[in-house]
Amino acid sequence: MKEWLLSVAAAVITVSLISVMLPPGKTSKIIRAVLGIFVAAVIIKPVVSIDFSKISTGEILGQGDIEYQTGYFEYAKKMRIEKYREEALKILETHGIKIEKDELNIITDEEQGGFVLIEKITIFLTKAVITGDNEHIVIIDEAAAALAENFGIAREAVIFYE
Amino acid sequence: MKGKISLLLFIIIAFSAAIICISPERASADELSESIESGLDNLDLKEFEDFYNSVVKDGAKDFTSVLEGMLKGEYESEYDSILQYILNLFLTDVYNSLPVFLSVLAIAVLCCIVQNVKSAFFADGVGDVIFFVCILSVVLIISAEMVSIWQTAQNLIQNIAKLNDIMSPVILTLMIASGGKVSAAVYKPTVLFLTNGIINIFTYVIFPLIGVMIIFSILNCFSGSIKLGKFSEVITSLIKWIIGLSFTIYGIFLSVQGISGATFDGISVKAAKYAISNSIPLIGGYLKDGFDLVVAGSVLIKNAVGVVGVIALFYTVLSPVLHIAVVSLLLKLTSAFSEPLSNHELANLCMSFSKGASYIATAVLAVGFMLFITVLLMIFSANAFI
Repeated sequence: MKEWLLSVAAAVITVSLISVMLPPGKTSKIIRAVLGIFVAAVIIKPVVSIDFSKISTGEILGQGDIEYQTGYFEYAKKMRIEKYREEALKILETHGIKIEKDELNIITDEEQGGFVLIEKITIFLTKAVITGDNEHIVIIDEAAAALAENFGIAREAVIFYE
Repeated sequence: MKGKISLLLFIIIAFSAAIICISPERASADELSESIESGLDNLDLKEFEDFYNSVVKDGAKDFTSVLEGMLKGEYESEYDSILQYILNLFLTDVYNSLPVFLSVLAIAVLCCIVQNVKSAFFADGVGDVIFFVCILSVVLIISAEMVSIWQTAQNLIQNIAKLNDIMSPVILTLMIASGGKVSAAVYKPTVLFLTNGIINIFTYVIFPLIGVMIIFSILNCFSGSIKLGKFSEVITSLIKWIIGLSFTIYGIFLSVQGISGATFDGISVKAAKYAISNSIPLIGGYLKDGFDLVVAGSVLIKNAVGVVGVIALFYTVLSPVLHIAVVSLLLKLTSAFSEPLSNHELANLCMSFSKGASYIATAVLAVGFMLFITVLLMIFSANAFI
């Protein structure tokens, strides 16, 4: 491109200088016409020699990818699991089961963006304190059903370990 | 006695109810602030911060202050100081560029003298050669300014691409985290097309065409016999078509895809929230609030980052475009003042340069505006999820 522009500029300047220095007469008109054809040829030459098959739209439009900040997704996932854990502990407390925070595990299937789908909830009753008039097995069953309904999972996905 | 006890009980119950009503809101506001703070801690904004602080004017608020102000709703725009800044920039550019154009006017005066006395003092061709040399010297003087503008515009385009590269991953991440998965999937190829396709078209097609147009316009003024005005007009027409088409296709694609993506995300998220909140009468409401905190925090941070990005874009584009506009204006003034003094070719030459500078400004403003539209749509389209 640069070479083409330089050649056009050189041709026009040279032709202009020659035109200025031409003596007046009939011959000068013919010379000016020839010089004009010469300038037009210099301008058009690279345009007609362009090989359009070599022009790649992929190269012009470019390629690339955007990297998301996965650290933020991890943070969002952690926050959501923590919220679910707090809600599960509250449900257990309302049904008379009091456990430590780390005795409740929420197993999730991750979606993009830190959103999680709860697959399973496991509760360890090693240090649990169960209060209520009913038998423990009834209390545990009711708590499991409440957890399953709240989080939209199957009853079998809520597992209590003694 | 019974009445007094009843009244006392009523006051106690009413007071307790008032506290219960107020406290959850305050608790929600505190929780939202905590959610935003911890969200910011987990977001990498260092590169964005460095870019913003490098383009913003001296004395303006830094990135952290602006972002925190936006998030707290306490940001106050500095209209007065910005207008003053623009005026100072304009006057500085005029003052710095004036010597160049005054020298062009001086050459125009010289040309006028030569034109009027050539028949008395010079041979037939000598006057024309002197005039030719005057035109050449004007071309050399103004070309230096045009090359500087050219490089400024190229750097500006690259800076706009860099801003897009820095800002878009952050906004798209926050968009996904706030439930706008489909919207992000729609905007991702659009953003890539802007960074790669549009920037490449402007850098490798539009700018070279503008250069060719300027050179042909210059060469057109050199000689009375060799005319390249129509070539220049063809290239001008080509530039207008390519800019217009790029702008139109990009705008239509962005608007249609962005709106449909946002609608899909909005409906799907609202459906999920409805299902959750209506399944359990006691816990559902709390679950809905808990879900919303992460989403709400992400949306607020996304909007704040987007607005800060728009401010950064404004400062990035302002100084170079103002410089180009000043040079274009001074070229027009030079053309206007030199027309009565000299041969009209000198005036046409200055006007051709001015047109070239205007097209350069148009090209960079077009790219800047495309990024502006993209960021605005990304801010507004993913707000329906809370």
